[in-house]
Amino acid sequence: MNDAILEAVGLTKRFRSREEGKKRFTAVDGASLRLYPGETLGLLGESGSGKSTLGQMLVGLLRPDEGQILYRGAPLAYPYKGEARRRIQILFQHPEVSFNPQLTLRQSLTEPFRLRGLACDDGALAACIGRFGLYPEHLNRRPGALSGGELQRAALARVLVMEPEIILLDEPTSMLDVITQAQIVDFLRRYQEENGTAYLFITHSTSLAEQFCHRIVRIAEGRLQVEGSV
Amino acid sequence: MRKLVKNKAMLAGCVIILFFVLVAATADLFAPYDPAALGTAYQPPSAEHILGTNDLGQDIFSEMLYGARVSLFLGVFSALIVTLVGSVLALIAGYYGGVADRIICAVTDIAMAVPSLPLTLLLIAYLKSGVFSLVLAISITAWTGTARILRSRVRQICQLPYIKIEKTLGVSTPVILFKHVLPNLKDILLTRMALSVSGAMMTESGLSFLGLGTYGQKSWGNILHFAFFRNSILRGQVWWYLPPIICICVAVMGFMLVGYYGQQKKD
Repeated sequence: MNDAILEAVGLTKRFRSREEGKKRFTAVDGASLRLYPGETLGLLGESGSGKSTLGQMLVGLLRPDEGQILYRGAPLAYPYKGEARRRIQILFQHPEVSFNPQLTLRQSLTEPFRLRGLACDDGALAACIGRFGLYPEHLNRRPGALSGGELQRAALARVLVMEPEIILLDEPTSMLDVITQAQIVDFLRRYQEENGTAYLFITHSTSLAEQFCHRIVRIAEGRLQVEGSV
Repeated sequence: MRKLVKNKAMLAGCVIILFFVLVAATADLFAPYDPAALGTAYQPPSAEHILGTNDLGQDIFSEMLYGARVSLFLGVFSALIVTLVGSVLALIAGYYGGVADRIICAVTDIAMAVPSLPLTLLLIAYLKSGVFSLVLAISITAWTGTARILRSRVRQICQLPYIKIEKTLGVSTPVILFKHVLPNLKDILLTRMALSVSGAMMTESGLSFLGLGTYGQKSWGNILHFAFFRNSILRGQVWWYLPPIICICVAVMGFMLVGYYGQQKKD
């Protein structure tokens, strides 16, 4: 396989404990993994196992207490900036809170276009959401007036404007109906084939991980346990 | 706007506030006398003096109209400062967390532990007499509640995926704070602002009643101070002491009704 596009070396994250007498608890303990271009790495674990914390460290939302993250072999400093910031994106589980409720879809989608210095006229925005089966009239709606499936597709459309190399998929289909789940999984597969994007797929569903991922890493109590090809 | 009109409490609150704002703005036009002009003392209400006159023969109706200016200005200006200070501290503490949050929370806790009325009195004693000193003294003790409530909400909002997504997109911190966090605080801000105005008006009235208010400027609390200390209650001069009490109560209620609407929306 090629060189890793993203590598975690001994990542550790501790939080202040709410338990009496216990000052801090370790959410992620010395996690090391490699993500290669064009692959889907499944991060499988139960609720509270530390998979989302690890994922959020990898996308630069949390500062690791120990360890290092390498992007294309170069260490990343928190908070991420420049190319690394643009190329490492995230898609969350809950589409209904993935958009600012005060803004229309048009206003929310304008942001990544503006950040990349791209023209964001009606045509560009319509094309951006059009490939996910959304229509120009959706652009004028607020999140409250869109379904969970429509929002998740719009969230994916927004992420892809950044042309990411790595997308952290934090259980992105768990809140969706079966048809929308299949549409999103199918689109992600095709997008990966065309662009060589790497996915880090966080899930607690073994069957979904086995279907979708090239490799699976299990995490329990903050420690990575098994790494292997599916 | 339609929702706003449908909510009777909010509508009533807005009508009350608008009425007093208009009264304050047009005091020059509608006041029949100069509120400082002297005349015949203790005149009961008549066609000449709608609300009678005080111990110096000043027209109480004119005093009330001009008093609305000072009372409203103090209330609104203090609330603006309180909301601004509270919001800035809440945004810093809630967004950055960590050391900044701990320091701001500690300062807020200490400020909350200090009894507000004695501190306000102490500040008034040391500051130069005037409206701005009063605004400062009221604001210094009133920002803590706003800061604490807003900080909790900012922390909640910052944990939501859409804020995390904005961060991963590379949106700058000021844009996240002012475009994505602040607009989602508008209901709490409305509530806190309205409650701060009513609180500041009550504090000003209390201080003016004690004789620590705006020296030489008419405010409703000031009118009440002179009415009480010139024995208007014993003399049965209802026209003197009742109008400021009614105006303070109704204006405070107006702001509280608006605050209640914000609270309902937030819930």
